Amino acid sequence: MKKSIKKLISLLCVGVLSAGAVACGSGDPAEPGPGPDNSSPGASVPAEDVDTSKAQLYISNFNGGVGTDWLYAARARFEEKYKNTEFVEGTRGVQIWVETHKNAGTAVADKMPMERNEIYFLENTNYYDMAYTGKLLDITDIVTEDLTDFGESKSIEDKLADSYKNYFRTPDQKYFALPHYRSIYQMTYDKDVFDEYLLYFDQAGGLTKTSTDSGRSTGPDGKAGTYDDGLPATYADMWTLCETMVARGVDPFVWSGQHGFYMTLFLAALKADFEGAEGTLNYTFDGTATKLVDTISNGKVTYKAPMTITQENGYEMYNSAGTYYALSFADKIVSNKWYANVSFNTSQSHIDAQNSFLVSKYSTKANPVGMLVEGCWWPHESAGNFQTLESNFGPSASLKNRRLAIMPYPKATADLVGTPLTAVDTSMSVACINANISEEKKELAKTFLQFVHTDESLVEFLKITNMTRGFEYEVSDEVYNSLCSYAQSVVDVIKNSNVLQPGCAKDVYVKNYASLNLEKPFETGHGAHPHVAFKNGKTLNQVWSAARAKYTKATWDKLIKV
Amino acid sequence: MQKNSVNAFQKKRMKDMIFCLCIIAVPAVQFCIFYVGVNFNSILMAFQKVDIVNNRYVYKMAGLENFETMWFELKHGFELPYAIKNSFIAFIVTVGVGTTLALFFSLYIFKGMAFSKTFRIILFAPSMISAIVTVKMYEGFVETAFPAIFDSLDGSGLLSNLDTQFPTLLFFMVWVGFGTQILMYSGAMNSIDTSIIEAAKLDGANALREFVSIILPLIYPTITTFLVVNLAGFFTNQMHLFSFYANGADPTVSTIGYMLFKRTRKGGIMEYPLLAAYSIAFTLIAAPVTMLGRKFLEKVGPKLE
Repeated sequence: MKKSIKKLISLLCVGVLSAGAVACGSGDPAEPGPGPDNSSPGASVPAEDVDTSKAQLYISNFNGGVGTDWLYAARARFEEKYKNTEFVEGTRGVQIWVETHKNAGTAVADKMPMERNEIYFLENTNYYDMAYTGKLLDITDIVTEDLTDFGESKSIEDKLADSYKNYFRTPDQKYFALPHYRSIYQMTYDKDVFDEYLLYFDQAGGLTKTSTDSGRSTGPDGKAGTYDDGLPATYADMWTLCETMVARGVDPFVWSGQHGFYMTLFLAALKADFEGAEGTLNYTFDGTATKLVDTISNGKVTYKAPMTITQENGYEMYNSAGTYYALSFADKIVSNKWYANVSFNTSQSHIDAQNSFLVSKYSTKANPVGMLVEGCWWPHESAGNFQTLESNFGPSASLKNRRLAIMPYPKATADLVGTPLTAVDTSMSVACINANISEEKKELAKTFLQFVHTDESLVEFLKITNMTRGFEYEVSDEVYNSLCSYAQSVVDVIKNSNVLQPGCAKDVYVKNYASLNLEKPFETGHGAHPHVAFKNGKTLNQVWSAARAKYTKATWDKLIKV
Repeated sequence: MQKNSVNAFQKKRMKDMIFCLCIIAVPAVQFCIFYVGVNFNSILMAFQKVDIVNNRYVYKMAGLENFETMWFELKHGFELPYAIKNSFIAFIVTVGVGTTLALFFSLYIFKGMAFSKTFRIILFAPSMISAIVTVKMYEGFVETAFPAIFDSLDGSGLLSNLDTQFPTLLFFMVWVGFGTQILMYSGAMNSIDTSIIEAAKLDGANALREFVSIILPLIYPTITTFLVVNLAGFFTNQMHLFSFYANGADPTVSTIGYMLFKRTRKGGIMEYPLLAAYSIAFTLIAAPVTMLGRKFLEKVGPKLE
């Protein structure tokens, strides 16, 4: 009896230990299996059974601010469009499984060769780590061929801006992924608050106008009758606006205290806007820099003579006036306390900051907040906040009805008013196909990837997420008018911007990916982020001096791999 | 008859052998892959670099290049000097303050003094609750409650103030570290034969003498174990920074453990060889120091006479 019990326990132990080995196999990607969970929070499609008469396609989607609703919508259209198509021998139609997660792309990439998922929509990726280690399928054919099967005359490549091409196209002219969504850090302002407190500029520089008044100033684009009329054109205008806001009982800014990098990436966006096309020198090290600081006297910057930037003297880019001006922006806001108190509370998450901004308009105790520093995806992420507001304050509090809009970056100096806006895409998001996909399913996966890059799908993405993807496509007046105020402003800003993908295919960038990210110029040793440094009493000069001295010739030569 | 019984015995031995092999096969294979294989790869990688050939990553031998870069970062790097300094401080505070207080609290609980059970729950709580939950609670307390109580902080929390940020993180590290230590120390104290303590009392030993001459020597092996573990973990102590800040901790509060973890997570494949070199260098320091430390502690500790 005792022996039997011993044997039974031992067998159980072996069984438990052996169970672990099951996970070691790569599995057959074509095997339908039970299917990943496709009923994540917010999913509009209930869980379903595997239909073995249909070809199975597995998709992994980063379910962050952009969510997954756009993918469910695309899935429904795709399954309907190809319901009678035989992608895989012996099947008719397609059944798509969507796995949602919140893992960084770099973490997902490690597991890709062992995963069943065939298509990925990820963010925070290291594209070249994935492409150069053979994890991604070569998709050059579907990127470069015209989308005639979908009734379009352009190819996906034709829709890509040069900046994205320079990043995603490898030196041997191949594509292994495409950009996913554009993530741009910006300021969102509340038009209702601006109207109520007359916070639009008139042509004389006073703050006397509402959003519907004529005679507003021309804004950063320097043109009358455009989307940015009445908004601050320069940093100096912004200071005037903030002073006036405070005088009229409005807190100018709020941002997430917990995620300090939101503010730093916003500063990186201001830097990119100042540098314009020259900003690509930060990672190509190939061209002439004209905006490097020589001296600064009483805030007035004198530039060095134009300098040819190469891999050998790339450290000079840390002397960019763009960094100085961005730092000065943060310094001014922080040292004047032009922010809501919660902005430095590290227990205040991004969702909390969004809520503070949204709810402030209705608060009888706290001041209304004029602007929120956030990534452009935030309204979709804040769906819960909007729902609560709507239930408390009625339909006018919904995202559809709130008059929110992106504020174009004001220019650092008056001479830059009228120059095109430059935005920087920060999330390194990609759409790609797993290289381990079985041969018989490649056509299906590639067709789906093309499908989500048709104009129809790109516009649908905009309508659902209020965001754009990294492609150029037309948004008709009809669609534009159907969008909420926020999404309309996204379209306006993107239409008037050059969006930079901050990277390129050059070896020097690929080898130094970790050292050349957007936050690096703002790492100064005075706190994790510049605004935190200023809050703790550091001066602009201290922080700027540390930022520009980040690399010397000696450290650059040793630490940058060429 | 004898032959048959020998055969039966051999058969049984063979069966037992197969059974034992089956039992250890899976963990042995796992050990070979995830310990031997991984560490061998790491050691090899420390002497390699990643290059790009025909749009593919290729590992090439690089001699001591990674160790040179490591040395250069030590002298001129941005985060590493802070990380080394902070790791030292964290170690000293853990050993000096953490262990001393843990002994004190353990004694308090062991003696069953007033509210000792309540204290036990309070001190064990961080070990029982999820680390993230504990971090969030603590963050809420020091960032929201504290400034609300103390007007002099001007609304600024202890973590967002650069002067108080590191001490606040140190306090948290010590506090959450109490649970395991107290569990072990009070367990060791409970195993002391009560007759020894009673005899000491009859001989007129006061509470301090009882602790120094009876309790401390008897639980010293447990204390030694903790000190040795702390010494071995010098280079891996993250001070819970990832739970507080994910990848975004201020470099001035970084520790070596956090820095290595963050760089592995963020840096990508190109960084791996340098990080492997770091690991080897730190192991070469930590291994002998830990062994010497253990010998030293065994030698200098209080002896029970």
